[in-house]
Amino acid sequence: MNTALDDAKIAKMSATDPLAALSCREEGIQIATQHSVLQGRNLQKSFGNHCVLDDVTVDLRQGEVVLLRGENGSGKTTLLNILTGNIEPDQGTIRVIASGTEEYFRFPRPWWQDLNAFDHFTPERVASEAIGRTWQDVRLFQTQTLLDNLAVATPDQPGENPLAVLLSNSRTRAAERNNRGTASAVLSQLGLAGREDSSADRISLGQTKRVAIGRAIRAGARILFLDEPLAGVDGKGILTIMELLTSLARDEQVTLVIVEHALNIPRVLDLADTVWTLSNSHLIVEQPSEVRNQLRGLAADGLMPWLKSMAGPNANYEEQDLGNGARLTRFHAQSIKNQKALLELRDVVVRRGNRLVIGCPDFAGDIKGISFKIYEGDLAVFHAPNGWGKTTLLEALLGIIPMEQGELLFDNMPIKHLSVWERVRRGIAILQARDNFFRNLTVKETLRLCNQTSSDTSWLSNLFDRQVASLSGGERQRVAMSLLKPARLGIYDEPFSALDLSRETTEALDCYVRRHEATIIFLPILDENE
Amino acid sequence: MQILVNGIIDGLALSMFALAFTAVYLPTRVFFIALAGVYSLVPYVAWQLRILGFPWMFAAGTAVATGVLICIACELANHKMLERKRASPGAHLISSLGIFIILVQLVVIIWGNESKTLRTVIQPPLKFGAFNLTQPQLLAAGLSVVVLSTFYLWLRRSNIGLRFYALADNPTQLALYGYNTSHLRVLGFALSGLLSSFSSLVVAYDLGFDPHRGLHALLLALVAMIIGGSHSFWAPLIGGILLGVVRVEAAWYLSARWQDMVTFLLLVVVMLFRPTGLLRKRTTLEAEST
Amino acid sequence: MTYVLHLAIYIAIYSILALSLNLIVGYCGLLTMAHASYFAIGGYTYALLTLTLGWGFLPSTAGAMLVAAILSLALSLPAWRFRGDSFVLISLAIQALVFSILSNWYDAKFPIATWRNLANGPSGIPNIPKPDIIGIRFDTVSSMAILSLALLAICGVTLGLLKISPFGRLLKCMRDDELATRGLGKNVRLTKVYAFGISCSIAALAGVIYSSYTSYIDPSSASLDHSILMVSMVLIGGVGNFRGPIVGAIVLVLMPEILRFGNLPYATAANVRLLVYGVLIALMVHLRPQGLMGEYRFR
Repeated sequence: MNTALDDAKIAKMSATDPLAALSCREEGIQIATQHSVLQGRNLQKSFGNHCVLDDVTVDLRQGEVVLLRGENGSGKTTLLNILTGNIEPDQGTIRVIASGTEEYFRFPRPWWQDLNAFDHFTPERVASEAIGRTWQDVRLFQTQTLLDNLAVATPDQPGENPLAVLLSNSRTRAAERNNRGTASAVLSQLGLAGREDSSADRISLGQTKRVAIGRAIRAGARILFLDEPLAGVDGKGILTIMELLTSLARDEQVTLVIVEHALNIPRVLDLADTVWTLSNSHLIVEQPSEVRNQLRGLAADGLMPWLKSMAGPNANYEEQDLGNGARLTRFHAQSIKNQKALLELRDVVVRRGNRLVIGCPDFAGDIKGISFKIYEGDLAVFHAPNGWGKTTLLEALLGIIPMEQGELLFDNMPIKHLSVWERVRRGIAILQARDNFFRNLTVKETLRLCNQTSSDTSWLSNLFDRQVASLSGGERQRVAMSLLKPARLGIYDEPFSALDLSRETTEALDCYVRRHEATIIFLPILDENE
Repeated sequence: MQILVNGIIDGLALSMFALAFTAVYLPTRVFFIALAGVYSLVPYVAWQLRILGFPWMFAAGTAVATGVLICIACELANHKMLERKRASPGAHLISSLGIFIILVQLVVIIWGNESKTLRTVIQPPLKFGAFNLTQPQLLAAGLSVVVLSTFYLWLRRSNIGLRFYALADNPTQLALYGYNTSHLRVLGFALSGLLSSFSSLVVAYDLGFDPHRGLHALLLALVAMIIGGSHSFWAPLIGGILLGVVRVEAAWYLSARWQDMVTFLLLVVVMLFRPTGLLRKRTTLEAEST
Repeated sequence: MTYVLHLAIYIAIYSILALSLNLIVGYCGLLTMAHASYFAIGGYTYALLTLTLGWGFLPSTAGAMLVAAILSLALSLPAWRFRGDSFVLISLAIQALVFSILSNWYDAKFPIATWRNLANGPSGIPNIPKPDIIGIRFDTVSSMAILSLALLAICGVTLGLLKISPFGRLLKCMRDDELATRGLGKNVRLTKVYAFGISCSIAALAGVIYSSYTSYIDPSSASLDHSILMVSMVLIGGVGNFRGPIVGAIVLVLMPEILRFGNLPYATAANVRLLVYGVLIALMVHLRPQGLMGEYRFR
């Protein structure tokens, strides 16, 4: 039943997106008259001096599918954590309207309310209001089988009370048999029949994400927050996850809030009713069609021309596909014969715990690692989507985490066994994206630590006595850049996230990059159309 | 006034031991229980050397050196290898517990369970206006002040101290600046051995010693560290002096038996209301769970 | 033969202790140094109830277990908020507190178990009556052995039922990832209260068997060394399943006996045992973190 308001909106939509308008009309979706289930007003959150969310107001309606998007570090996960009770906002109010009762939480909490250990906005409280979430790193229970992962989620199990187990054992056993039966059925629905006793690390990433979604639904969630459900998943996995989410939204009327990053946004847009965009700690509510237009209108990545210019007027470039959406582009001046490879990776495989991050199994069951070379004089750009494992690769390159398999050569000498500082002393330097400073030191002390004389960095003199932690993101990045020693290989991890793309920034970066014999810049993929 | 002075001096010795623990905990996050074993062992080494006729300086010096060497050995033979295998904090704690057990049981097997004393003569206390100070108290006060101030000056002013401070702050970033973090870790353990040996010796000189003092002293040191705010090198100093004063006042007004009760009550109160100590704000749920 | 039965009783006592400690260490993933405190609380409460109130074995045992379960809140409440190192610290504090109370709450001028002299201090409480169940007195070593093994079997069955139940599964999930478990709507606080309550009351049962068998209890049963011994027992035997703790208990009880054959005096044997434990623990973390027979590894 469309109201007059809906008709007006559909008419507006028809002009820009006839297909969406048609489906809306056909399904009779009520856009404006659904009732709210969750409201957050004037939410504010800062970490140290960094304000992540500023006066953010959201209104989630029943049955809605929301896409929450924003740049890396823009606060998407923070907002999700706040709305699911994992973090408390510094200020603001949250209203939860579920099954008739309304709960109201105001922050900051007065101290006398804080003392009451029970009345907090916590994950279990949130879950009792039928709000569930999935995690970016999945978080299935590693020591439990898949069946147990689902079976544990069922609410109100009598067997979870030890007294019931001991005193009315037959009743709890019967309930548990029932539970396992339905959990098994859910597993079959997810396409994992027969894998009940398998542990979580033996199935693909896409499958684990679907099991995690199934687990949250089984716990009774009618409102589901999903933290980057498509990140790191291959094409086939993405299709099955989207199928699952679509059926949840359309057939079961589950309210969904999906946090996703650039590359996967178009797929989610097909399903979304509303888009929440976080930018500069503010949130704007938009329509999917508007967002689609924005994305289409985006010019090609503003970085490529700059990169080309840095590499020189006669630069050539070579591209190498590294699987799962990652691409290595090497710019170099005119090819010199007998170019020396400064950095070489051969068949490198890296795991985090049990999870395979870099490398993929081939048909024979062996794990095939990634390989590439960086030559002297190269300016290499490593493009990878979120969730690919860029941080893992960086940490393995530097020696922060170990490589399971493969060879790593620097200047034709193996460095796999060297510690972090030994690699740095050989001539590798990195500017990390995050956490690249000492929280308790002032700028002056940090400079002293890096043996920089004051003359090099006179432009920083007004910042000398301030604690690095109190600087803005951009200032901190400039300090970090100036501390980077001229090394043979310079690695820059997302150097543009905290800085803007202004001319003085690109000039500064230009000057630093020229100090190295070779440079690798790691960038996220910003646009599918790049 | 006398009570306050007694409390402060006790507190200073306690601060040294708390700082010893912190010197390992902050840079490496290792829960160095074995330090309690070192605390128990060191006075016995000094005592044995005195029995054999060696002069004071030699006995004390060797005892301190023993403490330092044992701590360095803990790092090189144990924690470093676990670190390389990326072991969990639980594994570090348990292995440290094993070493603690070894140290204390060795003391009991070699020297027995009874208390001993380092002092041979008891001299009359010296008057300082409104209060008296016994000779051991003077030693404890003097040594603590010298050692603690040297440490803090070294930490903030010297280059190596700055590196150590940065290690406690962000070890990965320090390694990325090319500094050998392995050596700095060993330095942390060595400092820990040094500080705990001094602390143990001054208290042993004043009150005597037995094999089981170590863990009790460690417990007090941990309470001191937590009261002061467990994330800074200043926490042990503030917490230690505070705890020393509170304990002595409790012993005076209640009775010596209930000193421990008061200590733990204080711990409970602090942990309930300010789990990160007096110096920092409360953490969030997600931070707590990582 | 009496000697073997005597050992069997101690193996039963320590097996019960190990199984109960397994619930905390293996299933909640928390290391506690206060387990001996609850062992002692069980023994002392049984002694006080039988000596001063004249209760029989069953009501006194039930009373001791109930007291221990209530006092387990001292551990389960902090467990709501603290994990890992902080929890160890709190358990150390509880251990020291209980030991201090048992050693200091006495006044020799007053009779035992009055308010002025609750625990009789370092002298302990003597003359604790042997078990007397519906008229049957268990005053021989063999009858005591049968009783303690029967109690061990009951504990084993009880804990086994819990292990395979949804409660056991919930504990393991909580151990793996507490935040995700809370996100599913599970009441982890209540679960911890249950787990500690069960564990501490079973430890108290072991204390009851001990104090009724030896007819004596003193503060050394609550000592830190004793707690460390218990933790070592489960770490070496292994946690997370059943074989591990029982193997740990057997090794614990038999080791001093084996050492005695090497002509070591009994007092030193206890220290050598502990020394060997220290070495084993330090080595096992590197070489075999799951212990001799366990399932869960403190990786």
